[in-house]
Amino acid sequence: MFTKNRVKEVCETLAMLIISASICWFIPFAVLASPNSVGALSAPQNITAVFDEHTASRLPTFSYDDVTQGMLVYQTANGNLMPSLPVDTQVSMQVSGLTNRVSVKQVFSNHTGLVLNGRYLFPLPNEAAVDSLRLHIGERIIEGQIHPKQEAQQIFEQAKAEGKRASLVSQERPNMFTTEVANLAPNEKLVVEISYQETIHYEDGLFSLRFPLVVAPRYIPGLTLGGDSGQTGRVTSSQVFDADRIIAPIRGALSEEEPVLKADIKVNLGLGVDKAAILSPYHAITLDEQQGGLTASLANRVRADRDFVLQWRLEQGVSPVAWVFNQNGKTHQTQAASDDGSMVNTAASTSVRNIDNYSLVMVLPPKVEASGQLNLPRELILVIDTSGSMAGDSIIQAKNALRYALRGLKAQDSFNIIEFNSDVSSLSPVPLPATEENLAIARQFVNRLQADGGTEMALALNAALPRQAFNTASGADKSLRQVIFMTDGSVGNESALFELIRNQIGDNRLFTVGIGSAPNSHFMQRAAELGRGTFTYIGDVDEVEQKISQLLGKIQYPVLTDLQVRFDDGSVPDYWPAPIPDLYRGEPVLISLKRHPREPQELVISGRQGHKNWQQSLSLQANHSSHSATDVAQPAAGLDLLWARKQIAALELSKNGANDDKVKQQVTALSMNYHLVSPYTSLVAVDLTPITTNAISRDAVVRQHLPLGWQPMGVLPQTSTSSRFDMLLGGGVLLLALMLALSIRRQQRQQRALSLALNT
Amino acid sequence: MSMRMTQQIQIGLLVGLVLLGITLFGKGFYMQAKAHFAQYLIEQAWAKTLIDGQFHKPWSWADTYPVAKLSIEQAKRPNHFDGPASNDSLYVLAGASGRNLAFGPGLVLSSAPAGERGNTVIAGHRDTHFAMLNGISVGRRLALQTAAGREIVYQVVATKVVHESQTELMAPSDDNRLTLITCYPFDALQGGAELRFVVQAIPVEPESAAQSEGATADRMLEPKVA
Repeated sequence: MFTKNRVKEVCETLAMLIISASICWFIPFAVLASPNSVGALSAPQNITAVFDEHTASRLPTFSYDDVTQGMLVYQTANGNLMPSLPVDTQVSMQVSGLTNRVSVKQVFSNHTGLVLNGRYLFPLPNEAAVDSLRLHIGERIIEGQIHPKQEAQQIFEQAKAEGKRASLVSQERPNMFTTEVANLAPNEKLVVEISYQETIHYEDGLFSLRFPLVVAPRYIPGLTLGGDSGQTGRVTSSQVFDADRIIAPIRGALSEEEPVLKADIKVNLGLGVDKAAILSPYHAITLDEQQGGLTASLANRVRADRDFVLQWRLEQGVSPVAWVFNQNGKTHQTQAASDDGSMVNTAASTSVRNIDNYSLVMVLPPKVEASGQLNLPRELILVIDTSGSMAGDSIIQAKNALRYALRGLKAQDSFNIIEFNSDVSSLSPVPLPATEENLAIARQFVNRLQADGGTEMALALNAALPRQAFNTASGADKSLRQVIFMTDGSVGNESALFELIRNQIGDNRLFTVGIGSAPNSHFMQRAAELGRGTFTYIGDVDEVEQKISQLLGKIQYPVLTDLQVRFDDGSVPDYWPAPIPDLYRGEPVLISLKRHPREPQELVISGRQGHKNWQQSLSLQANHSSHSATDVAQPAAGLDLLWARKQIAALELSKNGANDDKVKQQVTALSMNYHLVSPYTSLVAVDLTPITTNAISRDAVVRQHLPLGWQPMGVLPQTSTSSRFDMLLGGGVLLLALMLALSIRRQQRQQRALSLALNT
Repeated sequence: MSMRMTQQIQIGLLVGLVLLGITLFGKGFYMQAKAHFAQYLIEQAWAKTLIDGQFHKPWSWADTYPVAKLSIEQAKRPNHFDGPASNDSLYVLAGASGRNLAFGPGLVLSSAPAGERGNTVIAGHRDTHFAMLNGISVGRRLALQTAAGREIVYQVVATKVVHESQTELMAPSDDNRLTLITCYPFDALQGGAELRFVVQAIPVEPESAAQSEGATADRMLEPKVA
């Protein structure tokens, strides 16, 4: 009887549990969802559209590249249609020594019956010094003038309003530019020719150049279709474009024919190039040898979806170890003497005593024996930010990065780990030798790290960069101290921290590693610059291993440190970059300098190579290298542009919030002086005669294969929590508990009743 | 005998369930409560910021500080907009880290600071602060108050649902715009969503005396149709 009762009880309880569980699962869904479901009705059309877009963009078979020429339209975010403007890119490069003069011709063609105003956002190599704009209208050429950005914009807008053809080139980011064209008449072609100067990358005898046909975030899928995202400033509802005027519907424009954005590249490599050693890893090229030198060009016009890279070596097999290029005077004379765009040759004017000389100096440090390098002990200080802002994915990435860094340590290295949030704590008071035992302790230390508290970065920097007082070791036995600093850089007191780094960096090297979905990269870039190291960005857990091992591999073999440049009389020339970053294996010293004719000719470059001091002097007078390999005395041009561009880059980096206006003034003055496009100056070219047409004017855009010269930042911030789910689950469980309690109580009551009945 | 044991097991189970329930519920509730009440502390910090122009931490161990105040116009009175009531306002914190987002919407540090030219990106949790973005429509107005006390009025020009990998939405722009990001779908219970709901807005000239702002607003809204 008892057992029967029990079985019944248990069954009842179980059934109730199941029923209540199912109720718990469903009721709160309805309840919790309701406050927000009001707007859900208005959303569907929106959502389905975008879903389609999203899924479609993931399909490899469909891509923007398949859009044909002709009348193109695209849909902006709010459903308006805009004509798309096809652009053809023709690049021709003239390599001379270590400089490369590049002319980029953008051919805008209007196949519509409308007057189009177009805008094209495109990438250029990172330190490209853009100094010339030419607008080709049929046979006529209009030279662009440099103006402060606002002024240039006004000139352009005015020309646009007056129906004159005009072109404006401005810089959006150091590696991202915009071309705007106004009043492109029906069935007309406008050619915008932009020229820039850059240095050739030279490492271990291998020359290489890169022309970006598409911008960095190559792994981001799905950008090809959502064209609205790349068109900055055009996603406005006020710019209604009447859809019924558009002949071709979007779908019709998508076919498998000619792509829209195409590029044609021709590189003149000059003389003395080893024909067999020319390599273009991503594109097919053809070679053509003429008396002017060797020309490499793309075998066929390519879709602009992959960077063009060209590598080559010099013929004699022996690579130069030092190289000096000189130039007398500036490329662009100041406005007064305006014969714009004319190059001033080196040989031209020795008579003018007051004209500055510009030089580009390359020195390749002698190779060190591999054994010698390995003996250089190093002290690796790993600093990790464990503040609250690192919570979530960031701390996981940072911990992984730490683990990889520990794995990469060699037996003779020593290391330490410092974590900081509101407080600083370190693995050990003194650096530990990288023994198995110590590494195991370190790994445990890493596993225990948790993200919480404030970001007292100054404390951490103090700990990582101790004052020089007790740094007694000198000369030979001084080990290489490298600090790897991992943070998301969310700090407010940037300038104080910069000051701290500047004062305490000493012989240390600071490498910053940006973590998380949106680190403060300006801060970290600048910190690394001051710390004479590099900045690495890790946006994804999957990238940790690759990026960290790359960084560690590179910094393992420093060849030259503490590089200094001076004239033989001890005075310091006006050179950039300053300070010169450390050289790692295979890298040459490359500096741009400006020299007054009265200043000395002899240059001394010195540095530390492992335990020894290294010094090399060379004469700026020599127009060719110290090696016979480069006896081709080429006219060096555009060296002033490189010098100015490097200085602008340095000035831009020195911005700290307080001196922004001053930097802006300096950069503006410098760019006006050297005819360079900068963040504050643009090139503008305006035709004097207005176009004659009655056609309606429209804005058009050039759709990019990928948007903007912008570094990808992992993923969009994670903005969902499971708070509701937790509450729901918790509520459900509590409900269950309540039922169980009720059941127990009833059971007890029954028992009591039963026992009472038995007693009586 | 067996009855006692069953009873003990049942009570044990009961205690376990109660604890588990309280923990889970508490965890979820804590997030909601944190989201709600932190805004009051942040409001005080913001008031100080408006007075002296310096940034203040809302509480001493905080890892962030408010950088702007975001107000969303209520749908009920679309024609009458003169700064929404303060209870619709959200205080935007510096940095869109998971930790900050629990307390308020966060300004993505790599984006343009509030009120400066460029793309200002603000992210917020869909289940707390940015739940109000659900159903937001094109044409709706938003107001952003900067640390200098300047009020910028934005108008929503686009809303869309994107995948979390579409970071181009956070790309810098050469115009003035505001991008709000929250997770999607709004009604989902579980965290870790892959989709984002993105609201893009551009500044409009406030009706009253905005000549000073005229330059930027003009550029944005200049007629594109001749």
